[in-house]
Amino acid sequence: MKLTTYSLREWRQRPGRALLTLTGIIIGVAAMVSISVTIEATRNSYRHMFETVTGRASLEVVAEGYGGFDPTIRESLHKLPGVQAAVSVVQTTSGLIGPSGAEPIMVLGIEPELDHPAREYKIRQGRFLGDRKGAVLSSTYAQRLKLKLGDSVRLLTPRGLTTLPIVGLLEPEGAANVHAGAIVFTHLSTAQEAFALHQQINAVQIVLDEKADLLSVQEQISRQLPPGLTVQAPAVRGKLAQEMLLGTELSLAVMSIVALVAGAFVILNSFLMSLGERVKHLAILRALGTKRSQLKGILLKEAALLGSLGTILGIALGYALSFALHRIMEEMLAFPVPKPRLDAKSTLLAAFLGPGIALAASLVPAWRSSHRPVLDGLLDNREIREPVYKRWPGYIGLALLVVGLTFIALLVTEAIQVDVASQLLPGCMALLIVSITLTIPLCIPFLSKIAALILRPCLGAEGRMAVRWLSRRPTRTGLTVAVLTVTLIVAVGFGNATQNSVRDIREWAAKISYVDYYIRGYMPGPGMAVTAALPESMGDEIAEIEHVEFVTKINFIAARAEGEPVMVIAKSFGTRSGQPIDLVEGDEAEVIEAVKRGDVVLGTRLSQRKNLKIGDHVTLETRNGPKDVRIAGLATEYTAGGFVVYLEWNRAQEFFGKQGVHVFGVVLENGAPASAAARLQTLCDEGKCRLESRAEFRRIVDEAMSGVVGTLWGLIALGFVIASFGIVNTLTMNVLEQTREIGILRAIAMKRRQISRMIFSQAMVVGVVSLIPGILGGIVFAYLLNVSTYPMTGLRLELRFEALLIVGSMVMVLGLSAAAAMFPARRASRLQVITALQYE
Amino acid sequence: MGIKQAILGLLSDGPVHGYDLKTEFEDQLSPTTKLNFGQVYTTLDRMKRDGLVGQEVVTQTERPDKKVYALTNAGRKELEEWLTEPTKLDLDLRNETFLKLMVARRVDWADPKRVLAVERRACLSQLHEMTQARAKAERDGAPVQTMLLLELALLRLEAFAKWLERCEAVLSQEDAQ
Amino acid sequence: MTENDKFAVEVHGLTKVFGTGETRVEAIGGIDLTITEGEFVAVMGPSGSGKSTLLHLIGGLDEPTSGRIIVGGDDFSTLDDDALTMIRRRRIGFVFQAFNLITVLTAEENVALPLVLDGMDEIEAHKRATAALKRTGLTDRGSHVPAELSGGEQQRVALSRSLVNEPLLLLADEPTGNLDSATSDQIMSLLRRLVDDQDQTILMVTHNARHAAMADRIITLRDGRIVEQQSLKNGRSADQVLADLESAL
Repeated sequence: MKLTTYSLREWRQRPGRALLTLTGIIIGVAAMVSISVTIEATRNSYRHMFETVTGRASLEVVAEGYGGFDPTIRESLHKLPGVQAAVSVVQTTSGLIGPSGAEPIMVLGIEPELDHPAREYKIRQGRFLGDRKGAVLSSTYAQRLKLKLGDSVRLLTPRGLTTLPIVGLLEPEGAANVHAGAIVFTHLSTAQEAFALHQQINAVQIVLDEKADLLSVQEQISRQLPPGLTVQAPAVRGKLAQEMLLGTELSLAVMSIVALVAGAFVILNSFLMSLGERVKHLAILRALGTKRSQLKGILLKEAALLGSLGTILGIALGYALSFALHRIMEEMLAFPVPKPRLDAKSTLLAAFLGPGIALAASLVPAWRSSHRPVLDGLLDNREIREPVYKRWPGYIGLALLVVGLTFIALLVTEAIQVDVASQLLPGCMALLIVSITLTIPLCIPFLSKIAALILRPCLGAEGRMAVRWLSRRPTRTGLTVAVLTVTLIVAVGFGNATQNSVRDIREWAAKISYVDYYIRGYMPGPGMAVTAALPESMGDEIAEIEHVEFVTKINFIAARAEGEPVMVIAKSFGTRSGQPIDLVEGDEAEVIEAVKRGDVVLGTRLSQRKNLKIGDHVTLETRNGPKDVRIAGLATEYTAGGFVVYLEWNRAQEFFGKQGVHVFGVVLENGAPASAAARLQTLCDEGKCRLESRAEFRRIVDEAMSGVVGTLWGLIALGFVIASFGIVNTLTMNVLEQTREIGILRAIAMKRRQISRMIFSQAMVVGVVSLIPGILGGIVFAYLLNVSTYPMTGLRLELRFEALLIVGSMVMVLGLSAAAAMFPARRASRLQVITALQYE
Repeated sequence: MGIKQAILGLLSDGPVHGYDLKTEFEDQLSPTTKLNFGQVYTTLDRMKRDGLVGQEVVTQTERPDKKVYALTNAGRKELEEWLTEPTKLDLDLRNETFLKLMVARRVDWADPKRVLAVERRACLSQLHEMTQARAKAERDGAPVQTMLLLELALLRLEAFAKWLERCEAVLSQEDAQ
Repeated sequence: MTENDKFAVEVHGLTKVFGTGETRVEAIGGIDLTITEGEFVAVMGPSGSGKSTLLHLIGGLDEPTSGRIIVGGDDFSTLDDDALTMIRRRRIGFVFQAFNLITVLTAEENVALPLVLDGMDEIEAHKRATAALKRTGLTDRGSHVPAELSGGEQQRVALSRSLVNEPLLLLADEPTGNLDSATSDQIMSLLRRLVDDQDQTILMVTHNARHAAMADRIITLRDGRIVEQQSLKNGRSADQVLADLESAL
């Protein structure tokens, strides 16, 4: 194992480079592991939640909109062949008053004697639901909330605050295991009363016989059901929410891939640097009789070893990071998420990818080192010839660039339809990036001259020498510049698009929050899958407070339109004017009148997806059967991802039943004194709900947006830092190869400072050269992204170029270029003249 | 040649018989230099005349009288001076090769390059022989005096070889112009 | 030289050209030579005469532009890189002016390197490396890294390394270039003894006439061609020289 000894010694001598390589691997692996673990934990959170609640039942029968319905249907369902049992329940989400206000919770009202086919309950303390009043919780959940047997749980319900004594605590198994046990079991009648269901239930859960075929039973049931009821898999409840989550998951997955790529880039550079320094030793090995394949094997083994070490560290760091991510996700979902676990899939993926990217990143450096002519490395005065610079990739790049630019020109002049063009947009963007990467080495001499012109006043003679040195290595310089350019393009493009989006969201939030105060149980999560209902009577109480001009009611109902799950937003419109909807199409006043009459307003995403326009009709599934409604307008809506249907309040109650009120909007008279707000606060304290001023609402949205923007800047900065590793590498290699020339220059009385300046100039030229195509390309990219928004979301975002972003990116590139020159410049200036000259 | 001063050196410890002087010279100073008695006595006579040595007669009982020689004060002074003053180096500037080369340059049908080639061959040949000799002397444990002389020979040959190379380079440059 | 003497090296019509067009340089312009087994050949010549290039070509470190090189019966032109590499590993030993030791390995590890590359067992390689170090007089410096060794010691380590695989041919490129004269002599006498006692074949490039003259044959190059070949074996014997020396004085 002597060759490993050699490898270990080489890396031991270069702790900095080893650390850099490890960092690259750790970045990639940690990001991947933390994201994968988090995604695993949250992935099927909603589906899992709803499936666990239903226990052994594979199907459920619900009303459209999940309102109440007549329980007699249960009998006939129970008798169907293939059905082992049909169990009536009342299943709702609600708010449990905990130490810091209302917390999201699931409430399940069951018939204790009849429930066993669906669920198992293991009592740990106390007893199960015997008499009518009382609640049973998971013991872990009770512990979390510091509740004991005999304490009471207080729930937010349409009847107001309902208090139930805890009669039993369950083992955290089976149905009690819904996401950290956030579930309360109570008697069916208790639930019916609390949630104002008047002898109705809101779900019949179907447990199938062992050998029964799900689809045929489902079909049978479907035939039996009256209009307004539907049979579905329990997971469907969370479909919309899950889709929202999917978007987040996708972004996270993309980020983890980007992290892996960035990590690979860092490894590639650090390998190029260290192998560049080891040229002599590797040449000696070759001279002594190491075959090319053998040398490649040695080097790749080094990469694999470093990769493995980095992977272990990365997994540990990733696991630690997943806790932070977990917090963020929990806040986003507004529901407890299981603690992150280092699952087998994530670990295996990391164990495979970590060494994998290390190997992949080291393939090219290893290949180059093994195929370098032996004498080039052995003799010091040999001009290390770069592999002959081939021009043809550059020409291909130019051709592709022309194609891409033509496409863009056609798009700008609207010679092609946007809808058609939008299909090709992703391809076009990729094409641009590839073509730029290929073309840049070709343009290096030209671009360098421009850069030199710009920099001449500050860099003088050293600058000119720098340009000449860089031009001698067009491929190396070209690739470094290309990396910077692509990073700039992506940063400016995505940055601009994101900022435009953020601005739009802020504007939207400002528009729709025309009320002075919101009152609700708690902040809901995405898709509104989990909400708490307040009593309608509260609205009357609020209206009675002095100086309250107007109270509006808002509900979020999960429904189906044209076969798609949508969010119906039920709103009560008063006589007060005020634009509660951010319309993109349709006259405000007209639309609101139409809605009051029973028409609907669609979110643009939904209208885009289903190709619906104003005047079209859309079919809503209601509890009385499908209903056709006319579309009066289209609106921007960021809730539920834009799959939204606005409906008037009473119509909604007609269609979906009474379900309490999710949010009250309060408008105060002009010039209302502070006492009015104080009264509202008191009301909320009594009812244990949240009072949220408009300013607070805006602030919450703002904070979320700032978070996004902050993350954006952070990622951009990180991206540039990593791209600048390319510069460090290039400069280090250049200094290594120019050692003799530096020695000569020093001997001819060039000061150390001037040598530093030469290296520094090289970095600045590279930075400046990348700015030109980078900023231009970024602007084009931003435009393309903007154009592609409409086909996807139906929103026309205003294209504004963020000067701060563009200037900031330029400053960052220049600053990092300067910083990247630090170490190589110091090294170059410190070269002992004699040693340098001896390179002959 | 320095024999005079060498004898002065041999006498510095005390009077020495004429005969012994020869053997001592060869044993202690220069094994490779073979003196003959005639040289020795002629030199002694000259030195006696110059007042550097004195002659004494030592009577022996069973053997004929010995003539021994001793240093005088003047002799001692001359020895001291000789040992402390630098020797005039013989740069051997009028060596025959040089002349041969210059003649070859002058003579129409002669090629200086050929002269150099021939000289170089001979020089290298000698170098080879001398190296071998030195190796053998070292193996056989030759006295330090021999080793130093061999070293001198080798370096002289080396210097000569280098000079020949320089001649070659300069003459080539001359031809090129 | 009898018909039974084998050629260690045969070179036929060798040329090597660097660069193209304006930068075209003919480093070697047609060389034929042979080296018998057990012969010590020195190659001399001014800078740019192509002597190092010749050595690199014979060592398989570079490819000729035309011509054939045959070492130990193997024709280089028929061999791919892997096969050439094996020859360098097993049949050729190199000694360079700059020593070219791996700075992160100890002397002994450096010497063992060719054996380790060949897959030899660690313990066996250690044994042979120690023995090779002994041959060049370095018995107790094995655990030192090159930075802790003097120039002469480093070159001796390099020499041991070149001999550890018992090569057919030892190639030395200005082996004494970075050493002082005393150390140079030591190295040169080591080389001479290798040839005399162990029949090693050596091809050495040097610009030092004295060192070149220690060989059996001197080849002089100029402008990429052989201009002079001189056998040194038929001179006087050592005893004769010593005798002549006495009489000359």
